[in-house]
Amino acid sequence: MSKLPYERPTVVKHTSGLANKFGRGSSRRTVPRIDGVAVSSLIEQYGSPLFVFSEHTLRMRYREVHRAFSMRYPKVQLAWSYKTNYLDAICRIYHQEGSFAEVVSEMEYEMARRLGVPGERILFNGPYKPSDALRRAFEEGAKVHLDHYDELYEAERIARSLGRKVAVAIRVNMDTGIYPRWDRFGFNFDSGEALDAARRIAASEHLVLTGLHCHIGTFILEPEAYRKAATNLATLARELHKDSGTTLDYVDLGGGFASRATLHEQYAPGTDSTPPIDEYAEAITSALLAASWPGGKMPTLYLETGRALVDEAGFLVTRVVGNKRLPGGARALVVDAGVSALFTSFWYRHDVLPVEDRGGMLEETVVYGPLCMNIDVVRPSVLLPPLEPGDALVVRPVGAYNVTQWMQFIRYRPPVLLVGEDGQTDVIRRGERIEDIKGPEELPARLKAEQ
Amino acid sequence: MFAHLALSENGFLFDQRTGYSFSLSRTGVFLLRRLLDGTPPEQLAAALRETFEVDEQTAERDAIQFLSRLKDLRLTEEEDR
Amino acid sequence: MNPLRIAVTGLNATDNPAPGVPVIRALRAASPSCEIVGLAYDALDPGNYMSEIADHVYLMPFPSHGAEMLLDRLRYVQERTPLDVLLPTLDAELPAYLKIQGALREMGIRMFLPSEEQLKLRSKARLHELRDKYGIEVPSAVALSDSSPIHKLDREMKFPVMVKGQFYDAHIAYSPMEVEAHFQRLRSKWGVPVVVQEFVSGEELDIVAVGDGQGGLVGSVAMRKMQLTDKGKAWGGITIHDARLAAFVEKTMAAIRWRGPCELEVMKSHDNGKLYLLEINPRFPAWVYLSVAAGCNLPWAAVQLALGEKVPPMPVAPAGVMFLRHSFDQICDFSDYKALTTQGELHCS
Repeated sequence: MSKLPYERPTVVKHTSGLANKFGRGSSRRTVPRIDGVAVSSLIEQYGSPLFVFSEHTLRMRYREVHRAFSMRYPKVQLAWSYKTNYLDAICRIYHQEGSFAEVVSEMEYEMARRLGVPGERILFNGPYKPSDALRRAFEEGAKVHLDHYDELYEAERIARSLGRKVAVAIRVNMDTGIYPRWDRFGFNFDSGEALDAARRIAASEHLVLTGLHCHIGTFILEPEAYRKAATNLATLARELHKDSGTTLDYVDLGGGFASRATLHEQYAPGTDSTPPIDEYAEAITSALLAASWPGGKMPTLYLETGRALVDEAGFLVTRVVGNKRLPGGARALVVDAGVSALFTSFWYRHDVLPVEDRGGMLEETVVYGPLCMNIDVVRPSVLLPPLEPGDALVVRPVGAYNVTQWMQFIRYRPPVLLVGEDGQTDVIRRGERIEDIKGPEELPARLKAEQ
Repeated sequence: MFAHLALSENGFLFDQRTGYSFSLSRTGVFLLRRLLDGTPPEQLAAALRETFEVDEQTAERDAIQFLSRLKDLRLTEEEDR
Repeated sequence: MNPLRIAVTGLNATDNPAPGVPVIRALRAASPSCEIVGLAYDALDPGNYMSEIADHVYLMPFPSHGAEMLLDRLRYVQERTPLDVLLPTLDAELPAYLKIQGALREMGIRMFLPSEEQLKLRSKARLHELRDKYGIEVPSAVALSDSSPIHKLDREMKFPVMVKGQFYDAHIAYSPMEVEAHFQRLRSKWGVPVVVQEFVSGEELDIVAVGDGQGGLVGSVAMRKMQLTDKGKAWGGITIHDARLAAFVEKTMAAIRWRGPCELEVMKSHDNGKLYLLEINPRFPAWVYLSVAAGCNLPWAAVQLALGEKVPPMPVAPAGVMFLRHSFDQICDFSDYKALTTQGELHCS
């Protein structure tokens, strides 16, 4: 007699408010493939854990976002936000698609230059730009966005020593109804500080104001806030023209558009609650089109969106190391990738989906990473079927910030793979080795003796 | 010993002593039914292997964990004496 | 001809009840022949077991699991018990139902819901736009997505303030520290934003209404709460008629062009006698059965509108119709509970 298929024996106590399991169909989701490539074969070839990026999604999403803006507004330029993901291959894909680079430090500036991005296609943001970096940016014609008065004076000194006028923009912060209000970067609009700073630049013999920049926050779910930001920048441009005759080349609305990730404190999943990119585009472009621009000259619209472009192109493949039952009865899994690789799990309720579901009852499960720290939790609670050591899980969307904010703590950081549009796979950052970690260290001669 | 447990084949378990109820997976029903019918706990793994497509090590691990889970849920506690 | 089959969500009927059971009672009062499918979130929802409430009950995935899972479940329901109309009654499920509205229409299930834009406009975070655009008085408010601005709030707002969850719950706070405590609790329960609203002291009045989506008011009934639970929920109330309030309701519904059922919470200020719109809840209130007694069966009107039928003009609800809620120990069949927990559905024979 043939035997019955096996599933792990489970018993679950009924409690009021117990997450009911009668959404059956799609609650038993799996991710057997990424862009048509079997996850199991990826693990076989490259091991686990493993970051995987989809080139198809990267390019499609870029084009979708660019189209959303460019079909509504005549002059649009995206600038890839390096801090969101500065792997060369990822940046190159965006540059191939036509993106500028948006950098916030001298290190990122160097990364962009190293990739061959010319200075005039780099937007340089951030509250601290070391003097040397600022000088280089001016020499190479980068678009520098000044953050505060001392930086403005420094820019002026550098321009004077260069013996020519240099173009600058200012970062503007404002109340757009979004809390927390990001009022620590740039010059304030509502108090008139931004206008004062712009006037100061207009009066300078060494600086020319060519743009206005703002970045109102991160993971903004309310497109209307951008309408307000765009309207305010237009107002500022008009006032500035009125009293100094300045006309601007560009306005930069920054980034902060939400991806379809889900914050821990969001009620509905991001797939339901994140506004489509068209809503952001409509809010921004309709405000810019409705504004009256000095001399009828519409400025170029720059956007620095990062997360909304890259997040859904990134996956983390991880494997089950062991099963646990915690005191109190909760089910737990230990997996081989934790918060050191997946920094965003502190803020986001990522999808954690099995590659294969062999049946059995779904149960609320804590997913722990492999670190020896209590905070290493990938998901505090997620419905999962019974899984065995070696079974693979896919965590998504994880394309934004993880490969820049990950920490090297007690484990090597995993390799990063790119799946090409034809299904070809390339390692774009190999897994770390001992020499990557120990390479920069020096052991003083007096400590060289082992005994 | 298990007179207080009412188990239906569809996986609904009612503990008459406490009033709590539970859901069990197919294999969970199988194991608990065996226990209720008097199979000694140490023979559960073998029973699993006779009926289901499962290797020895998994059957043994799961039988042990299932028993300890029943104990955690206070389903197999002896009556107070 | 098959009887009209209507699904109603939210069968929780505890001391903070969902509107499902009273909505079903209203439908039964208008049409004894219709068949009711209850969509419940918990096997312990008392409405699952009440006689003459639901003919069929299905357990549903929580709205926090998203639209996709909801649609999957409704496909299953539709196969077993084809629905003609569906009335969602809970704030938290509306965004998901709006998302799947088109798919449900294709399956033959009709609803009568506000638009996504209306739903956003009535959100506590954006209600103030009604003041800016239409001159409807609303308390000023800020929507917080993290707690860092709280310590600066006393520079912007006069204390006390109301701290409100995005879907439910409201607490009064006398200091930023109290705001912080409520913020943390509300955030973990209902997510962000948490809204801090100017406190208006006065007489609270509640209105249940159905709008036609063109700016017209299909019907409305106003009520003053006579007694409250310790959570501040109505446990008894009486209909009122006040021409100024009626005009305020008409103006509001016309301004926002509300489509479908709603509950307006209005405060008549002690200070200046003005009417302030505190909230628009995008669904029937749990006290909606009072509308039936007042001669305006609003849940039935919602069904008619969903079916594309014309609703005959409703009378002006008289003042002095009163309700007192009571609690009641209902004996349930344990095998029904068993069916719900193991099968996720229950069918009355």
